[in-house]
Amino acid sequence: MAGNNREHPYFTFLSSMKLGLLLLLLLGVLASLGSFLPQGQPAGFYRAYYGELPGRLIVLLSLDHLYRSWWFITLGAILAVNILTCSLRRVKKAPGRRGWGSIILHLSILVILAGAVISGVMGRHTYVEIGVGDSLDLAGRGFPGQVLTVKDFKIEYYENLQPRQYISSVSLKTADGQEIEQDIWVNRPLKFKGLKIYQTSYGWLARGQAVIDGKVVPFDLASGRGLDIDPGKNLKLMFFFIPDFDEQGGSLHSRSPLPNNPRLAVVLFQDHQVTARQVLAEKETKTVDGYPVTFSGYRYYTGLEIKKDPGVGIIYTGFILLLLGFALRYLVPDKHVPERAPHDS
Amino acid sequence: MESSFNLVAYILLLAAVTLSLISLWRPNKYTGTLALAALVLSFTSLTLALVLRSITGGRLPLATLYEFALLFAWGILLFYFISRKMIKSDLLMVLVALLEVIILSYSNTLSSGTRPLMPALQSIWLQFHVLTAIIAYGAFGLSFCLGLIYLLKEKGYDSIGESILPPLAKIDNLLHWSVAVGFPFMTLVLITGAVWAEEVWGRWWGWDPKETWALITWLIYAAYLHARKTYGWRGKRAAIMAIVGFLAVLFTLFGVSLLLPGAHSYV
Ligand code: HEM
Repeated sequence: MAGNNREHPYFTFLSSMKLGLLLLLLLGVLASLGSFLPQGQPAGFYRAYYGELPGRLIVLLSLDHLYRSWWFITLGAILAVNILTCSLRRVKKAPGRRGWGSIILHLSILVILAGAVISGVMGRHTYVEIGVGDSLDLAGRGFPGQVLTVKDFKIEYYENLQPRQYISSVSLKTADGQEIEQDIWVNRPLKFKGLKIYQTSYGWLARGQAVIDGKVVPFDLASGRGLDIDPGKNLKLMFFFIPDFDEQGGSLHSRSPLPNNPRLAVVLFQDHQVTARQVLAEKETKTVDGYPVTFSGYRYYTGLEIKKDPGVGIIYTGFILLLLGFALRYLVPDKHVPERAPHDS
Repeated sequence: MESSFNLVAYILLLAAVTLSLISLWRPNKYTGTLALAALVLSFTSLTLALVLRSITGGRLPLATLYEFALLFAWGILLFYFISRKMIKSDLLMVLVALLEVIILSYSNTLSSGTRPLMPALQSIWLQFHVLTAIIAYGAFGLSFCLGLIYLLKEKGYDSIGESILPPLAKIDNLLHWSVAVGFPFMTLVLITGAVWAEEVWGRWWGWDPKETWALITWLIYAAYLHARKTYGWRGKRAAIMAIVGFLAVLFTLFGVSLLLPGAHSYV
């Protein structure tokens, strides 16, 4: 109350609306800059695209990862201090119900920012691809004690063959010996004690074997991958799974996403040039430029994002407080302040 | 059916622009009333188009940029009708009708097919996200038009009658009201968007261009509210900030989709 005029001038500035406004607008301008400049590219990209000097400047000023740069985060931190000090000042002035609403509203922004920091520092996530029927020990991915098994994966289609939903049936074995079975689909992750698993991607795996220089080499690879035969000569055997092969057309494109006529296209690449190719039906063996290849089977793999982020709960709490603050600030009648209709001036 | 209602809405909006312009030029009772009638019928027609689209598509029309353009136009008209309780200005009507024509013209260049929902869009949060955006952007659209007439009046077109341009303080107050209504809903747009992103991708915030521009919009209107409240920034500077805020809205909706690639490219 009376202490106001004995405040340190720095404190006065730090809690001032002037600084707050400056920061709100500055953060807006800087955030827009980051939306125009591609983020997270390698340094060479910026020099090639914007010219030597501008490219160097972009990297030097961290504009290539603007939202993570120390100065952007510092400005955010100063805004947080500004909101905090400004709110504390208002708490001292015995606010009415609406005033408390406003203070809760402002402090909730700090809760959200704190959650964001915790999310950035403590949040962990990883992406895994698991074939149907396979298990993966997540310990190797930073989630010790959990083993994830994919029992099934399927895609539901609309009549026009546009995907309706991607569904993975998984079972998760946890450190305390529990086993959780659940279907995961887009917009419906598995949630268990802070661990979340999301349906993110999918693809085909092709299984078989190739005989390379007299040695049998089994493979179980995602479509589009291959075996290095001779890295020195840049010789590579690549596998492409075609779910619905068009016999007449002869092209390697699939007629539909459904496995109606599954084939494996085996392509031999030398120095990125195609030198031979064969199309194999299931259980078939053909020789690709002297290398016998057998196609023995296919299945889906599912791409799952696994994450644990203690920040999210705090952020959601902040969201609820923010809405509560708004409700108190705008919807609750305040005895002290008369209602102001927009048409009286 | 839907497209004929759209066409009717569009033609009625053109009629409203013409009629309200005539009534600016030669103020009289009839053209102003007719222009308002054209706007009301256009709103009705647009509503019917949206309802029909929901029925034929088997879902609410909340998923494509085309659908949102129609909802955006709908929301701005809604707020214009509400504003008539507080201000009646022929110039405001001209500007609102013009803005509507521009939005609907643009919507005609977008693909209007009713594709079924892709998996990422099948979320209750998306529905809240879009519904709150209609309200927020509708209110901001009104504040934009008010900002423009404020600046025009300030520029000295002051001699014309009050039916065309109300007193400055009245415009300024209504402008503040519309921003103050829009802002909590804009906050909801950001929150529901974050929750949706967390459910669908496992990241509540990703600095994707569309998200970033929604945040920029929010920051601009937050600055507007604070400058007005604590600095008494009324009038011209406030009007300019409201105009800039709505330009950010337009950029979020249309500029980002055209110019900046990102996860939201389907909306
Ligand atoms: C992202 C940041 C911020 C948001 C979203 C926000 C939101 C709001 C809202 C919605 C209001 C009510 C405005 C009205 O009724 O017209 C308000 C008022 C106010 N804000 Fe902020 N604010 C932010 C940052 C700040 C900062 C940095 C300060 C202090 C430096 C501050 C100080 C105030 C004060 C003093 C009021 C007036 C009291 C009231 O009407 O509730 N705010 N703020």
